[in-house]
Amino acid sequence: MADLKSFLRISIVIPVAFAAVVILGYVLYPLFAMARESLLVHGVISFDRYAELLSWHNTGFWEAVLNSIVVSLATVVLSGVVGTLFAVTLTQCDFVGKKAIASLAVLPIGLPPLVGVISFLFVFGESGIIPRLLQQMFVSEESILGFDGFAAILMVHVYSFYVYTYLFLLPPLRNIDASLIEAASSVGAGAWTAFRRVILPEIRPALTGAALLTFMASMASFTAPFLFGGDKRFLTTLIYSTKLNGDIELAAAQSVLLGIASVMFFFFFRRTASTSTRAAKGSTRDGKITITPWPRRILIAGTIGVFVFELLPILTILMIAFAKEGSWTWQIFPASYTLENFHKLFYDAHVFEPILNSIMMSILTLVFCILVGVTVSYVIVRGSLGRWKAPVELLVNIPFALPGTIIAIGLLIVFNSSHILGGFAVLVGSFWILPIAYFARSYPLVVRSTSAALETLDGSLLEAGAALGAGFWSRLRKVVLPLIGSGIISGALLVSIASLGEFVSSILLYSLNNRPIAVEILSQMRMYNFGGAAAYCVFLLLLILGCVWGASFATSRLGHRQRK
Amino acid sequence: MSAVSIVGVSKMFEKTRAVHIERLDIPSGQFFSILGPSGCGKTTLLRMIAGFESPSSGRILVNGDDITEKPPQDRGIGMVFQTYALFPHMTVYGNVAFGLEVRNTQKEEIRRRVWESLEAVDLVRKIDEHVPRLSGGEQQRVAVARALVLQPSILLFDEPLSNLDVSLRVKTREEIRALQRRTGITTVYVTHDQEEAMSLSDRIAVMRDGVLEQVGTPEEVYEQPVNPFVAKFLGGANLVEGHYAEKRFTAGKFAVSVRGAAKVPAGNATLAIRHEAIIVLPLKKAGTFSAVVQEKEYLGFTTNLILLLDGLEVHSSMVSSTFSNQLHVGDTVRIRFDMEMVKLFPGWRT
Repeated sequence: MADLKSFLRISIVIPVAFAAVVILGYVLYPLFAMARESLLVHGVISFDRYAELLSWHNTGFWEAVLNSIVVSLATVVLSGVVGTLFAVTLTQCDFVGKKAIASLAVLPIGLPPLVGVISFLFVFGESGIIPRLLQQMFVSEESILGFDGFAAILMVHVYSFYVYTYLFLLPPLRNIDASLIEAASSVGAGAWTAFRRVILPEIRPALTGAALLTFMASMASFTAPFLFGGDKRFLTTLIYSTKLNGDIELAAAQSVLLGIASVMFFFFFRRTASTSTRAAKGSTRDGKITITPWPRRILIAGTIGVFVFELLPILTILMIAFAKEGSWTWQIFPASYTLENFHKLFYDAHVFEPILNSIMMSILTLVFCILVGVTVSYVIVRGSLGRWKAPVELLVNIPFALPGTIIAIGLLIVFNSSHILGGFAVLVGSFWILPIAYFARSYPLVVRSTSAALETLDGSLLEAGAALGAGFWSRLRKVVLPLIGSGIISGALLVSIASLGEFVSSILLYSLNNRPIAVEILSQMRMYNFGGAAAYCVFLLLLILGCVWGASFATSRLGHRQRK
Repeated sequence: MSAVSIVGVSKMFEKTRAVHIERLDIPSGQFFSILGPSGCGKTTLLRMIAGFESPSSGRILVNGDDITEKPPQDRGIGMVFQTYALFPHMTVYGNVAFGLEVRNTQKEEIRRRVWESLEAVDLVRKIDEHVPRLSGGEQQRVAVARALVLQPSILLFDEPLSNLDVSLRVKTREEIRALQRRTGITTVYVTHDQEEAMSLSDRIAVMRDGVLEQVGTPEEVYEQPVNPFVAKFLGGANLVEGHYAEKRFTAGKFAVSVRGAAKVPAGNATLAIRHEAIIVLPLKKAGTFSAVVQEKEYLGFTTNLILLLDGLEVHSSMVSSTFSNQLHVGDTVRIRFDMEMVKLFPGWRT
């Protein structure tokens, strides 16, 4: 009896200890080491570096701060508008093609940032298809409407982040109680007043949450500023160039500042998210808000317009993937097409290598994310942590709030020399550093989705399992896992999407033996091999599509397993 | 021998004492109810028997074995939960077979026993149905079948009927009773519904504030309540606080002579008058008291009255009759007490 108990205790303690060591050692410790490094001047703790960094004479830093804030605020406003447009149209209006648009509206979630940026470049960049088309139409010397700098960054941001507003608004807009509107109009409120006084308060928490998340994401955004920013520095690209210049301590200080800001925003975000649930009393009547024909037409037209604008880059990248090398120099569209780019992917081992790297590193990341993420969620939700629950949850989720650049800088600092956590080897420059970075960036995705599933798991089901004679592991295997499986799978899907196309921390940490797809796409672009870059992008999208398919297959299997 | 013995068990939550029981023996083969208002500790007691809570002190014995330290899965106890706790990802078959599968029972035997226990609850035709598709009553029966299939020595019910509507509740109650009679399995049944407890049980334990107030057959607890609380909680009673001296109970203007209350000392006392102990008569008939009808509630078979009796407001319940149908609010009536159903208790507010 006592033996059995101690066995159980050990078999639970081992995964928990493993998860704790992994998170403390490879996620939180590097952040701590980064903070320490930023404070060390010739081996002594000093705030001199921060004083210098924050002084008003350091215009480079303040410009980067300003640029980041301005572009992020603009992103919040614009993606808020687009996301609201989509959400309102797709919940309140009926029109042909609505289903197709609704199912493709979340597409940007599956689109790796770099692929988004590159495909935008092909369509709207200075030598993109549309500016060339316009240039030819209006016989101009210069390219027309070629997006660059701020405008381009903003467009890519809106493209990638409007999904937050859209997804946040869907539930409240779907559940809007039509009788509220009717009540408002029965006491004499016009349409606008009804919207402002009745609907807006209902969706305000969702809008605030989405705005904070969008702001965080665009402050953390690296890829768009990196490729479109030109001379302009943003906080993330500033950290990158500081590191390239060899001043890792300064990069650490810059990272700490950006990190503190990010965590603060994350904290606010969680506060708004937790207060946003409203309890409806009495029975509500779901229904659509009556919108008069003209505003309705404008909404639908706007949504379809933005949707086409959103599809163009994907279609373009598909087209360019088939372009013959050197056949797209001054022409509007590539002159000749070929399968050669894809042929090379499979038959040229050197070309295939980045794909193999990304797949292997993603599998590694996935395995560790699931092992650690599920254990951590279990401890958070069912571990009776009492008042420690909230702080532990916040700490575990911190990487979710941090830009990939910061995580990479932290890992660089710890693993630039031999370290016990790296098995006394220098991990920077080795294969292992990227899977570690991917893990640190994405395990919170599994924690969040699994915790959500665990929260809704009825505790009496576990008691029923016990009463029926099932021990801890039987209950875990036969009751808990099947019920939270879909939560784990959806988290795992997000992890694989994030890792397969990861660029932000890869660009700081990659080496010859682990060069991932995203980094290779960039070097193809730099060599003006657009067809090759596009082929990589398309292959990456296919891999992600495969993951999406695999996840939905696995989820449906979960449902079938117990059927006779 | 007792199937379950609770010996000096207490359970503390933080600093509040949720349960404190000196001794409780549940005889083998009986249908035993634990009855009490919500928050009285009855569910905590049941969960300690099942092993989901461990007592802060004391021992729990099942068939003579001390199981206090055993995990729930090793206690050989079946439980039916308030929410049924059926596994939503499994079929009816999967749910009932679960306990046998984790014991590595042979496939053939699992099949046979699942079939038998579903037959017992008349649900064989739903064997391949997914649980969320079943009605509340069917889910309840699956939960019973799932517990019974393991042939537990004791079956625990935690307010199993509270999620059913009224008509289904009565029907399911009868089914549970019939099943228990047929199998003879020792059953511990937690409920806050006195009618449920009365109709089902061989014995009832009345609990309040974590303590046992009275244990006995339904007749005993109804007819010989040990204190005003039990009297009021089981069957309902008017509690009148007053004074007792020389075989007379007085409360303000109200006075009545009480016999056979030898154990009650003179002084403060509480009189418990059952609703049906108040016999309402026409004004012209002989009776000890006169009262005025304040409210009338016609329920078909019975009629409830609120009467003003010597400055006291009392509830009465009577079988409807031509007389009661002609009563109106404001009418004056005569009253007699059926002293069999009037009990005197020493002190106030116990």
